Amino acid sequence: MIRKDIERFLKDVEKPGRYTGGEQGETIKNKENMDLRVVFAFPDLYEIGMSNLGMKILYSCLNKMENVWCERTFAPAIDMAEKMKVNKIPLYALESGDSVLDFDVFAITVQYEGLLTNILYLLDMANIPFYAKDRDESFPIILGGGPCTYNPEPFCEFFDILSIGEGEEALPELAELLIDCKNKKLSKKDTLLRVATELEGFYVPSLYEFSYDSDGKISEIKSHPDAPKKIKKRIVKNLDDAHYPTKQIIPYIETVHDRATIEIFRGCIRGCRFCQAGMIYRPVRERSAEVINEISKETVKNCGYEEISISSLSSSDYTNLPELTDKLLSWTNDEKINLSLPSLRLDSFTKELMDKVMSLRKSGLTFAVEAGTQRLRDVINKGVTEEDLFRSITWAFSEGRTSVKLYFMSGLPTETDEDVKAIADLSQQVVNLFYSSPNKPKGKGVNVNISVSCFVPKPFTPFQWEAQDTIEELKRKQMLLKDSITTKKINYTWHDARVSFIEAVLAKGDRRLSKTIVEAYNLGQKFDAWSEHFSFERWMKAFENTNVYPEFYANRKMEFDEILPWDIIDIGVSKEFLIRENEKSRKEITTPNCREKCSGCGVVDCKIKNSMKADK
Amino acid sequence: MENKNIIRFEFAKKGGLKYISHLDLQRAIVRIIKRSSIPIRYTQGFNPHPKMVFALTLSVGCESECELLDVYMTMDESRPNVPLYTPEEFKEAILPNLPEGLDFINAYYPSRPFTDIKNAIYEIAVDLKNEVDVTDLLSSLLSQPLFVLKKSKAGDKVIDIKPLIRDYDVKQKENQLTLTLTLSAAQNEYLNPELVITALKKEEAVLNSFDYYTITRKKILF
Repeated sequence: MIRKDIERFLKDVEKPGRYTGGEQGETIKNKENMDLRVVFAFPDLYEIGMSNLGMKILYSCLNKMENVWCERTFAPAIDMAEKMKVNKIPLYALESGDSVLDFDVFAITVQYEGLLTNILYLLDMANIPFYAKDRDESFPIILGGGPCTYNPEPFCEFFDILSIGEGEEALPELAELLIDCKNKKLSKKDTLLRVATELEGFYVPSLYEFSYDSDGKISEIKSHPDAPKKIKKRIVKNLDDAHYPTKQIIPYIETVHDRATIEIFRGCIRGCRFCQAGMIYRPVRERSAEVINEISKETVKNCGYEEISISSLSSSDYTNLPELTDKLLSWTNDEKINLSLPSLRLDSFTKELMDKVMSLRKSGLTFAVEAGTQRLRDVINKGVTEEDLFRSITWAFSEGRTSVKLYFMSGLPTETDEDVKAIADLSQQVVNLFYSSPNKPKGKGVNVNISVSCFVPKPFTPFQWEAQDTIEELKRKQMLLKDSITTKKINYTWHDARVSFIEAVLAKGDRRLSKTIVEAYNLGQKFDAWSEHFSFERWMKAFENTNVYPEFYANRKMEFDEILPWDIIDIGVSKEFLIRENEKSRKEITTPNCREKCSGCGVVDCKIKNSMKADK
Repeated sequence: MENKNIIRFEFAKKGGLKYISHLDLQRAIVRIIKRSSIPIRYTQGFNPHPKMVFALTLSVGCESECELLDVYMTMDESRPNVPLYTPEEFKEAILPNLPEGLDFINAYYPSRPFTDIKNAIYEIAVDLKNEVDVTDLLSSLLSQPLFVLKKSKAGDKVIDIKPLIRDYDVKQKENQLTLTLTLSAAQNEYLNPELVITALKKEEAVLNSFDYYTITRKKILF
């Protein structure tokens, strides 16, 4: 329901459709009959948040409960925020128009480090104190979740509860418990204790205390006697049974991903040593082709989407991708629905699959090569070879493509100048491949776009202990690569090393960073993920003002036996495995993918591991 | 003459929907038509898209009681004027799929093309800051040449919009003002009602008395 008080100025803000609600498919309930009211926030703009599949799933999971009403809110753009402040309108939920303060639970999804200041932006807009300790019973419970919460420490003090892992089953359980606590009129403190002790996968930061050595390292983590020592992440065991909302909210204004996104599996059989997603989403769980086909059909029918996007890490590792694409193509073509298949790996890219992808859409072809030399690709366990790349690219050129994009990373552990220069060589070879291709399109040149990001060590990866290259070193390497490129056929773009530095600090940080994030926000920092809003100077000022040395977190190599801020979380993958992988990387030894050989990562309920055991 | 391969869909755009831009509304209606399984015709070419044409655009923030959209239906090429889908079927299919604020008014075979559109009638409801009578002032402003800066891609220029104002009526009750305007809506001579407000507000007394206002398109005249 559109708030009357915003109508007076709504016409004057950019994209007013962001703020009205009332889209088809939104859930409206009678608030008088509700036992629990939740407002789910995505701390970025509406059109970004509304593209997020996780939010759609959890919104639907909660609204399936008769006595719970879950609504949505997003970060207002700066122009809207100014008007809201002037007119004294607090952050409100789109469905009812009610202020966030009127809710029992304010749930905020934390998708990436670039959104941390926006948590505070939302709390600020809602007139809610930043720190959990400063909030009395009158405020909603602030719940966090999402991929960034695997190391929740840098921002955990803003939250009462953090949901660790997948939420489809966990959130309804939490809702039931909160309703029970509400009925029994328990205090917030007692409620939080029940959450921590009775449910799995919920972290109540106030029940834990960190102490530090004189050198700044963590010396001890003390926990409340009844709270678990480690919080185990939640997973949905069988993806076929996992709730997928085939009836979705259909935004009026154009969103970033305006299509049906269908998850085909979770987890990844690869063990790229820099990749956090590849570790935290283990074990691999596939959705059956039948179920994928069914929910795709139903979603398109219900929502009128014109595109289906198959989503997962490394889609080509789906056990029977050709069968799945055949199933989907059998009806999508007739109904003029486009099918897109992102995240294909070079080495599992067959000609058959290539032909399918080519027939689908004329969209660009992107290959994640990650490193310029085989040596370094072995270090990071990216089991892709030059042959894989050249084979796929030769196909692409013979099919008439004249443009390809290659992804690389710079600053990887053990990287030398030779590795950096090799990125230019490899790209040059791709250019040469085009001109030597017998079937190349006549009269056209080639475009090889290379995008080089900066390595950011991430928690729960074999590289979690590694130091990030300094900003100066990253910049030097960026320029070295620039000077190594001699042709205009190669279009080279690189990431801002300063952004990657801040990302590393926030990714690997501990509780002492919360005051820095507050300071950065108070200095005016928000929408970090938007390059026009990011200010490195402001962040450095915030570190200085709060006596935090960012280099301690980003550029310091940590010891294997050091207590890590994220030791409080148990993702299922063992630390021993990560140490083993780190040591193997130093010896340039690769680890086979999970289907070739189980590497004993420690995750339980892994179908691949269990089927291997059964074979023996 | 009626073209039976086109169904003219008449609808209202109200409430929160008025904040949806023309382009977004277009996408939304494509979705609604797809969900309703209405056999819309696709354009030819490498990237086919559903074929439909709006009579007039509507500014963000304006409501309408009379939007017109021509939906091109699939047809049997060998019998070009035999309809495969009737307006009644169209109505039945689309009704359950329309969101709140997008209200069904009518569906029929069009007899006149949109190029014949001459004018459109708007009702502008203004909250005045006080009860001072402004009807005479407005009537007088609307009866003489009315200059305003028109911004366009080709460059900004000052134009006289008076020739495009076909008729006007001003009523005031306490601090509620109702301005009824008949404005040109012909091709190349379309006058946006917001532009009339901008022109009137150049007069300081108007600027000082106008508070919040809503615009509703009431009727499209052929």
